[in-house]
Parts: sequence; structure tokens; C-alpha cells
Amino acid sequence: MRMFRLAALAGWMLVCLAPRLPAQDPGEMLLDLGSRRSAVAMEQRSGKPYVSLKDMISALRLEGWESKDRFNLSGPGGELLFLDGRPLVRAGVDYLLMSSPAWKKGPSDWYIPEAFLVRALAPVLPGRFSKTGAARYRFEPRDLNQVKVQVTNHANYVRIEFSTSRPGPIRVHERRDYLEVEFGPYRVRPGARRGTPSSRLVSELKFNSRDPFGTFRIHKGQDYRRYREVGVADAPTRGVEIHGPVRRAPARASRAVPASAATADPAPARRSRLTRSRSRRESPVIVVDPGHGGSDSGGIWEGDLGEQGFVEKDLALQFALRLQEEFRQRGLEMVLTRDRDVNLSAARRSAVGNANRTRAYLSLHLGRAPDETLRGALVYFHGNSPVMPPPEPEELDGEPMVLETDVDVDSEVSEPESETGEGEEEEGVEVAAVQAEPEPEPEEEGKFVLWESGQERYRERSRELAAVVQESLNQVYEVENQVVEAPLTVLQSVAAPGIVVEFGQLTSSEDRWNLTLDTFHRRLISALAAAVAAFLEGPPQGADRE
Amino acid sequence: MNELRIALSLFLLIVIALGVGYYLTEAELQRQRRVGLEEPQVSEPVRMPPPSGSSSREMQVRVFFCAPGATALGEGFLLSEERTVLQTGEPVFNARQIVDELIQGPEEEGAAIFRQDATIRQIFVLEDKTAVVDISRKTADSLAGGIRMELCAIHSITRSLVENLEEIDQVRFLVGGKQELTLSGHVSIGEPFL
Repeated sequence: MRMFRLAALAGWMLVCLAPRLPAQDPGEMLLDLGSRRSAVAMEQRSGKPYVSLKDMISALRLEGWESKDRFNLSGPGGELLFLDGRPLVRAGVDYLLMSSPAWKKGPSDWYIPEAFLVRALAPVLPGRFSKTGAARYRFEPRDLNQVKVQVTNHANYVRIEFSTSRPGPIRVHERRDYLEVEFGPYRVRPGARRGTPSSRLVSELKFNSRDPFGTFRIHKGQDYRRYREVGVADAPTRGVEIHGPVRRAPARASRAVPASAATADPAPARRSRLTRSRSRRESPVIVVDPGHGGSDSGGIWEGDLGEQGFVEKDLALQFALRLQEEFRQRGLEMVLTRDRDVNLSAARRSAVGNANRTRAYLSLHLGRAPDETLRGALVYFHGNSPVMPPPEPEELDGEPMVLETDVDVDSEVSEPESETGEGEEEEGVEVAAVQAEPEPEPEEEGKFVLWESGQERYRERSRELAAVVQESLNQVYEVENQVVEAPLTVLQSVAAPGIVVEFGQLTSSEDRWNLTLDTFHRRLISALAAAVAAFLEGPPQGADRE
Repeated sequence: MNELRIALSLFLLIVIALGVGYYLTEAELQRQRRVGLEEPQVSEPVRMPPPSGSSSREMQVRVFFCAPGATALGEGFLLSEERTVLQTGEPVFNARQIVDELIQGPEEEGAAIFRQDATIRQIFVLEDKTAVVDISRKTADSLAGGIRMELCAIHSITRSLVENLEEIDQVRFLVGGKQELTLSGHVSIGEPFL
């Protein structure tokens, strides 16, 4: 009888507890994020449980990108580099050893051993990541991210800018009725809001506190057509533009975007800025490449005695974002190779320029010289460096390596199969843009140009652009620097007039002081934009020769 | 009883042997893991042999440094200083001495490019009069941040070698024993410098 009672009690407890147990698929892991629970795919490999990195990244608002047999995972605390089939993981300057190797199941579909999760993710996450049970984990974001909102109404679009107290990109997801704006793995605290969006384009803008991290929802108005992400003056500020139907100017009717393409699409997919820019040929596309990025900081000047420190990759990005605004005000379209802190190979940077058929390519850097006397901006263009006794003239001015074809095909710049450069990790820019259909210039028709020879045909035009920019920036710095010709990997494959602009020297105390001044930045940006605009207005276009 | 003792002894021996075998295997595996985590070993740089008595003599060389403040490449970008090195009869060792003098830095107005602890891993001279200068990764990284730094390093080494040694017509650069795209992120070193 007693045994019967005990058995009945145990059965009753099981019945009571059963509905409370999580209905967990054996092929998934559960991740508790405050009030929300995310499922993360799991796989068994060699008898060991593996966890999907893609799902972890999506749930934890991290960033990840693949480069062949490597996968980078990036969070506010750092970066991890996984290698397919190898148990070694690079975490900053250290290496970690997993119990079993990382696994690339398919393109961008990576798995890592579950046993390694806590050890791997804890350092890159701004919060507490812990295991709470079998195949069950919890993340509690620690840091707050105060987000201020500024709304500006324009004639045919609304710009909503988000100023965040934490660095990092925002992510916009388009849903059926609204856009959801995420702000990385931080707990978002909504700050002050200025302005009210036009109800025609945005029916409601509100903070969504039900999301475990907190998001903003931009509800679509009746005239909503598309959105685009924008970077504005300061690096921690990002924005979203909500666009209505395209209005065609009569004078440019033949050149404007076809109405069918712009308005008949009821739910236009999120396109890269690279692809979009190709459809708008009213103004020349300028591609600006903020140098370095990600784990490549470029030059660093550690300030002392109260002096401000400088990190080249950050300052180059800030400068580029402000330059974009300056070009926009001048009616010129500018595209960035990167708008956040990520690694990019030289080939990938060039690809952005070539895919956009850029009219001018500027790579922004800060200089560092062996001596402190050198100051001011220095502008470089690609070519041989004639320091030594110059080579024979035919070597300098020889014909570029072009492969003639019998077939009348459009000009193409072929990207090499292997171009990851010096083993550096890269951020994937949208491939669609790189593979976009070519729009041939008259002088380029019927020819293929080797990828690494892209710049050869534009050397003279690059020299002209360099001279114009150098002269303009010399006036701001009040120096008489001269343009420099050097074999530069970052320009080698750019099929357009391209230059590297070092807009100041980190080794010059005077330049460092100037670069802390907002007014000086504005003067520099204005001078640079004016010089590029003047160059683009000049008569010669296209390559130096056929 | 004796049979039992023998069996027990044999059993213990087998257990001990297995234990020792396991320990040694595990120690070897751990050693291999440690080795796998370490940076690649840098080979010792070639050291110049002592001068061989009466056959050695001195020679004057011009070592080139970057001119302070010069921006445009060309004449005026580099300054030279005279130095005395031992003439060994071996272009590799002569080249090594010249580069070592360059690393020591200028005595006059030229600008120092390399830090005093800069390491040139190897210098080879090929039959086609190409010198291959293998710069350590750490030294290349110390040049990071400026195109001018890289140009100064490349051209000061190139010109110092080509001007002084008739066995060298051009210079190719390696970093950490490998052919890299750039010296330190900017300047392409895919082709030799004249």
C-alpha cells in the first residue's frame, strides 16, 4: 500500500511538472534573454554537440562574417576567429584551444562545440553569459545604451537619426508593417526624442520594450516605399531614411530611375548602397575608403600629458562620414567602402569602387613620418617610385596588361579567385554589387583588364586628381607638400582615378592639435570636397588611353 | 599460491606499463599542443663571420636615410652618410653590415627609420643580382601607420645596397620569411625595387 502511494505521488508530480518543462527540440539549444527565449540549432558531430554560430549571432545581436575557411565573430568585447577544421581560435592576440575543431557545415553556416560556448562568448559579450542547464544558456546584458532620436522631415523622405552612447552599428530589419531597429547586445534606454515624423511616411515611431534588448519600431505610413541606412556626421550616430514614391523631374525624365522600378515594387528589398548607386547616374559616384578598420587599427598615437590620443581607423571613419555629408550637400553621391569598424582587404575595397564605376576613389588615412618636421596632408597616387635611377622609359610608360578579345563585350574588371590579401579578415560587402552588370565607358569597350592592373590606365588622371587635392589641402595646412607616386596595394586594382589622402601626420604635434579642432576638420573636409568636385567638373573623363 | 603471486605481479607490471605509456603519450600530446600554440620559430639571423686575418680590409660605404621633411620622392628624399665596414668578399655579409649601419640610425640630420632593436632575419643575394631582404614581422609592424615610413624603409635599404654593392641591382623584400603583399599595410612589395 505504501509503495502504491509513493508511486502515485511520483506520477502526480510528473504530471504537474510536465507542462512546465520546456518543450525543447533535441536538435536545438535554448537561449534565455530576459523575457524572451531563442532557439539555437544544434548538430551532433563525432558524438559531440555543436551549436550554430549563425543563430547565436542573430540572437545575441553580434556580428559575424565569413572569409573562405575562416569565420569572424565580433562583439563589443573583442573578436574571435574560427578556422574550419581546426580547434584553434584566435581571440585578440591570444589563442584558445577548443576540445574539437570548428565546423563549416555550409556557406556561412558554422558550428562550434557546445562545450566551448561559455569560454568563447564570455569575453566578447557585454554582460553575463552562463549555462543554466542541459543545452540551455542565459545572457543578461550588463551595459546600457542610451539612444536619442532626432527626426527631420524632408520633401520626400524622413530621416530618423539615432545617437547612441555605445559604439557599434545598428541593424534594421524590415517587417511587413514596420522596420525594427536594433542596437547591438546592449540594454537600450530610450533618450530624448526631437521631432515628429510625417505621418504620410511614418505612422508611428516607438520604443519596443518587449524586446530583451530594446528596439525602436518605425511603423510604415501609407506612402512608405523604401528605406535606407545612412551614416551621419559623428560615428556613433546612424540613421534611417524613409522614402516615399520617387518624383521624377521632367528635365531628367530620361535619366531618372524608371517609375516602374521605383514605385511598382510594393516591398522593395533592402539593397546595398552599392547597388542602389548604380541606378542613379545623375551625379558622379565618389567612393571613399576609410583606411584600416577592425583588428587593423592603422597608426596609433597614444596621447600623453593631457594630449588627445588618435587611432587612425576611427578618425578616418569619422572623417569619411562627415565628408559624405559634405558631398551630399554639394549634390554629389558618395559611397563608403566601410561605414563601421570592420576589416576589409584591399581587393574588397577596390571592388566597391569598381562595382560603382566610381569617378573618383579616395582612400583616407593618417600619416606617420620618421621625423616630426613633416606636417600637413600628403596625397599619393599609384605607380612606380622613381627614387632610384629611373627605369627605361618603356618600362614606365609601357602598355598596361590588357587582354584583347575578339568578342564585343562590355568592359569588365575580373576579380581574382584568391584575393584575401595578407590573411586579413574581411567584411562581406554585398556580392550583388560587385557582380552588377557593367556599364561600359566608350574607351573601355571590348577589353578585359586584369584585376591587379585596374589602376594602370588611370595613372595620369590619378596624378591630376592628386595634384588638385594636394594643392587644396596645402592651403588649409599652409604647407607646400607635393604629391607622391608609390606602389600602393589599396589603389592597384581601382579602375578609376584614385588617390590616398593622408589628411594629417600623427607624428606632427601641430597636426595633432589641428585634428582635435572641429573647425579645422570642417575646413579640411570642405577643401577636399571642393577639390574633388572641381576635378569631376573638368573636361577629361575615363581612362588615360585605350 | 606461487602461481597466484606470479599472476598478481604480472598484472601489476602490466598496469604500471600501461600507466607509464599513458603518461608519456599524454605528455607528448601536451607538448605538441603547446608547440601548436606558439608563434612560428624565427630562425637565427645570419651572423657575419669574424674577418679572416690579413684578407679582410675596410671599405667606405654610403648609407642612406630619409631626409627630414621631404615629401616628394626623388633626389632630396634621401640623405647619405659615409660609414666604414669590413670588406669580407661575400656580398651577403657586406650587405648585412650596410643594413646594420642603417638600423643604427643617422649620425647627422637624416631621420631614423628603424628602431634600434629592428631585426633583419636574412639577406640573400641571387644570381640575377637581386638581394632578398627578409624583415622580421615585428620590425615591419613598427613601421605601421604611414606610407612614408614604409617608403623610407624600402628606399633607404634599396639604395644603400644598390649604390654600394655591384653584386646587387635590385632588392626584393620578404616579411617574416614570406612574400607579403605590402611591407606594413600600404606599399606593395610584390615586385623588386630598383
